[in-house]
Amino acid sequence: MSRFGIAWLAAPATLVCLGLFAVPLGLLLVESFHGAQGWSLAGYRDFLGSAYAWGVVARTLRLAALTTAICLVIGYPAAFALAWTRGWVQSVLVACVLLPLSLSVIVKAFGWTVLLRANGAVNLALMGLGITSAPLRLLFTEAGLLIGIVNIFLPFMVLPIFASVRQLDPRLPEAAATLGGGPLYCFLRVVLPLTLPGVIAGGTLVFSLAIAAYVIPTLLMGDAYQTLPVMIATSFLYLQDPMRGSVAGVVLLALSILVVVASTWLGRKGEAA
Amino acid sequence: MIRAAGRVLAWAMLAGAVVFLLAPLVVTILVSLSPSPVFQLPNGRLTLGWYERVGRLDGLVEAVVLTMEVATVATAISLVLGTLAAIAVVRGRFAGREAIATFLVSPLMLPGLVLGIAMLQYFRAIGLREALPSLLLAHVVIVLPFVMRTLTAGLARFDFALIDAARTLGLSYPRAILGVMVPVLAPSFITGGLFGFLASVDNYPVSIFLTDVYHRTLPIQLLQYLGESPDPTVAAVSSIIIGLTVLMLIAGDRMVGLNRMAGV
Amino acid sequence: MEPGDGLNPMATPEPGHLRIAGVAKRFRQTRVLDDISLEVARGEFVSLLGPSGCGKTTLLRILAGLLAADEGRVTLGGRDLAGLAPHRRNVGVVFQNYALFPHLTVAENVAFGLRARRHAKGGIAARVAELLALVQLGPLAGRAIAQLSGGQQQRVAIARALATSPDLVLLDEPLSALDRKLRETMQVELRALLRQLGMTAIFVTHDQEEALTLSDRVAVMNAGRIEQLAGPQAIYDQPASPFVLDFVGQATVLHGNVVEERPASVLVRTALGPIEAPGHMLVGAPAMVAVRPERIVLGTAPDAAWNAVALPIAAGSFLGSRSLLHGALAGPDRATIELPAGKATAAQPGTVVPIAWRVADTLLYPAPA
Repeated sequence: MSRFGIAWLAAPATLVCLGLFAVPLGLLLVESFHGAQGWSLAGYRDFLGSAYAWGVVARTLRLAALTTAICLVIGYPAAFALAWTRGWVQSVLVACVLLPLSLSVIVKAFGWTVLLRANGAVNLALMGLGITSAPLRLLFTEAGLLIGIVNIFLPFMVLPIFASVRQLDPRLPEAAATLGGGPLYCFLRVVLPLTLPGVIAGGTLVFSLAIAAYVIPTLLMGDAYQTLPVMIATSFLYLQDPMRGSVAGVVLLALSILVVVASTWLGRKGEAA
Repeated sequence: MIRAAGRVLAWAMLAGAVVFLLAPLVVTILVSLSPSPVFQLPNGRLTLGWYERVGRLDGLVEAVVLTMEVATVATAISLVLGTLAAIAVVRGRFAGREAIATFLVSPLMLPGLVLGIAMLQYFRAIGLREALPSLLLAHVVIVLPFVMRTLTAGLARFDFALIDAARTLGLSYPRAILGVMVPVLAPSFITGGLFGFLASVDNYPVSIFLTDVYHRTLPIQLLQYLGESPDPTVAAVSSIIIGLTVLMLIAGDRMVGLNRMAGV
Repeated sequence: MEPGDGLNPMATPEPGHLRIAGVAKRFRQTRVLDDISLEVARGEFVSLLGPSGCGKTTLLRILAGLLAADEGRVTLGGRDLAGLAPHRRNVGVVFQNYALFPHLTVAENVAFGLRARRHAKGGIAARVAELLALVQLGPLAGRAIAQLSGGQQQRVAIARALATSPDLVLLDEPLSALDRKLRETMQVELRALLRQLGMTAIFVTHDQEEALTLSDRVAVMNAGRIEQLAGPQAIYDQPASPFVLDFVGQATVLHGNVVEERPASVLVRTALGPIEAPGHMLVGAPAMVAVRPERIVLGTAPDAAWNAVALPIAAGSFLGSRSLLHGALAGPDRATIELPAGKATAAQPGTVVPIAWRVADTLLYPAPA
C-alpha cells in the first residue's frame, strides 16, 4: 500500500471522534450563547460578572495547584527510590502504584470516607503519633479532600517521573562529579533538567485531572463545595440551567486546553534549552 | 551528607507513598470483613456476612452486566479503529498526521464532565434518546485514546522489515500482517485494551448524563448505594472490584509485564 | 569467476540463472536505478558494492518482490518474476538487522517459511534441525531471539532464509551490525555454507573488503548504475573508473595533462614530474594517473619500465605487519605507500624520499570534470 493510501486508515477513527466529540463540543460552545430568549451573551455576562463564579474558578484552580504541588513533593523523590530498586521488589512496588491507578475512583473514595471519619484510621494515627490530642474533623473539610485527591492522582505523577529517571544515564551524575560538581550542583544542573520532561508530563496530567475531578469532591465534600465540575453537574442535573452549565463547561474546557498548550510549550522550551 | 539525606528522603517518600496509596484499599477490605454495621475496622472477629448480602443489592447485577457490555463493545470497536489510525499516523507521510494523532488522544486530557454534557446535548439534538446506544458511542470516545496512545508507541518501535521478511518466507501481504504484526504488537493491544476497558468500566462523569433509570452503569449504581444505604455491603462490593482489578493486572503482567504496562 | 567447486555438482556454472535486464526505478524525481543489467550463474556469489544511496538495496528489494521496477525484466531459472508477489518467488532474504520475529523461538523462526508453505509437520522438524545443525545453533533451538548474541541472531537469520531451499538468496548488509572480529569469522562461515549448499547469492554491502573477500564477482554501483562488474582481483587491479578506484582500496592519485603520446602509453606531467601510463589519450587532455599503495617501492627506478619520483612524506601510520606512508601533496593529488613494517623507518615525516613503480601498474583516467 502506498504511503499516501495509508492515510485513509485514519479516516474511520477521525470521523468517529469528529462526530462524537468535536461536534458535540462545538455544539456546547454554541449552546453557551443560546439563552431562553435566543442568542445572547447573557450566560457569559452572568458568569463573568458573578463574584460567586469567580470564586468557583479560583477554588478549582487552587485545589488543582495544591494537588499538583503535593503530588510532586511526594512523587519526585519516590520515583527515584522506585528506580533504584531492582527485580521482584521493583515489580511489587510498580504493582502498588498501578493497582490504585487501575482501580475505580469510587472504590478509593469510599475507602477515604471510612479513613477520614472522626474515629477513622487517619485520626487514630495522628493521635497515636502525638500530633493531635483530639480527633480532627477531616471528612467534609478541604484538608480531607486534599488527602483523598492527592491519593487518587499520585500514581499519575510517579509513573512519568519514574520513566524519565530510568532513562537517565547513571554515568551522567558520575561524569558531573568527576568534573568537580558537588552533589547539590550536580542534582540541579544534571539530574533535574534531565528528569524535567517527566515532571512536566506528570504535572500536566495531575493538574488537568484535578481541575476536572468530580467524584472525589462530591463524595468527600458534598455538593456545597463548588468547583467547576461540580457546578456543571449541579447546573444540568439539579438546577436545569443548561446555559449556566454550558458556560461553566466552556470555561473548564478552555482551562484544560490552556494547561495542555502551556505544557507543550514548556516541554518544547525544555527540549530547546 | 547531602547525598545521604537525599537518599533517605527518597526512600521515606516511596515507603510513605506506597502505604498511602494502599490505605484506602486495605481499609475497604477490612471494613467488608468487619461484623460492625457502621464502617468500623474489625476487632478480632471476621465475617463474610456482607458478601452474602451483595447478591441481594437492588440493581447490582443489571449494572454489572450493562457495564461489561458497554466496556467490551467499546473496547472492541476502539481496538479496530485505533489500530488503523495508529498505522496511518506512524507509517503515513501526509500533512496533518500529527494533528490527527493529537486529536485522537485528546479526549484523555479533556474534562470528562464537559464531554458528558456536550454529548448529552448533542444526542438530544440529533434525537438519540436511548441510553444504551448513547453509552456505547460515548464510551468509544473514552476507550479510543488509550488504544491509540499505546499502539502509536508500539508501532513506532515495530520493525516493518518483519513484514517484508514474512512475505519473502511465503506469506501473502494480508497474511503477513495478521501473522506477524498482530502477535508482535500483542503487548500494545493488551495494554491499551486493558486500560481502556478499565477506564470505561470506571467512567462516571460521562455516563452520568447518558444513563436513565433502567440503564445504570456500575459506578453510578455504587455511588447511589453510598448515598442511600451506608452499610458495609458497599465495602464488600468494593472489595470484589479490588480483587477483580488485581486479577486483571496479574493477567496483564503475565502477558505483557508490569513495567511495560506502566509505560516505562 | 572461480571454476566449479568439485564438492557440489550444483555449483557447476550455468549462465543466466538470474537475468536482470534493463531494470530502472525512480522515486518521484530521482532515478534510483538506471538501466541495470546483470546475469548471475547458478551457484554464483555476486556482491553489489557501493556507498549508501547508490541503489543497491533498491535493486535487492526489486529482486525480492518487495518493490516493483518501473522498467526492465527479471527472470529467475527461466521464470519471469514480473508481477510475482514476494511469497511466490522462492527467494530467501537475510535482512540488514535480521528482522527476526521477536515473539518466536529460534526454531520457530527457522520453521516460519516452511509453515507458511504448509509443509508437513514431521518434515518441518527435520529440516529445522538440519539447518540449525548447519549453522551450529542446535542447542539453542528453544531460545527466545532476545536471548541471543548478535552473531547467533545472524546465524538464525541465515538458517531461516535457507530453510525453504530458495532459488536465490539475497543478503542485505548482513554482517554490518557485528564487530570486526566476529564479522571476519562470519564471512568465512557464510561463504563456506553457501558454497556447500550451491546457493546462488546476491550480497549487498558498502564494505569493499567484505565484497572482495566473499564474492565470485563484484558489481560496483554508483548513482543507480553499475560502474564495473568483474572478479575481485580485476576490480582491485583494473578499476574501470575513478569512482571504483576511489571506492575500492587506497591509491596514489596525481593529476596533470598529457604531454606526449607513445605507441602504447602516454606521458602525463604532474606535480611530481612526468609519469608514464599505459593507454591512449590526446596530447593536452587533462588526465589522472594512479597506482595502488603496495605496488610502490622505496628507491630509484631500476629501468625504463618504471616510473620514479621524489615524494615529500607528511605522516606515517604503523599497522603491525605493515606501514602506510602518506605524501605531502596539494590540491586533489594524494599519495599512499604501503611497505613492510621494517622498511618504513627510513622515511620519516618531513623527509623527501625517492619512490618507484612499474609503468604497467600505472592506471590512467581522463580527469573528472
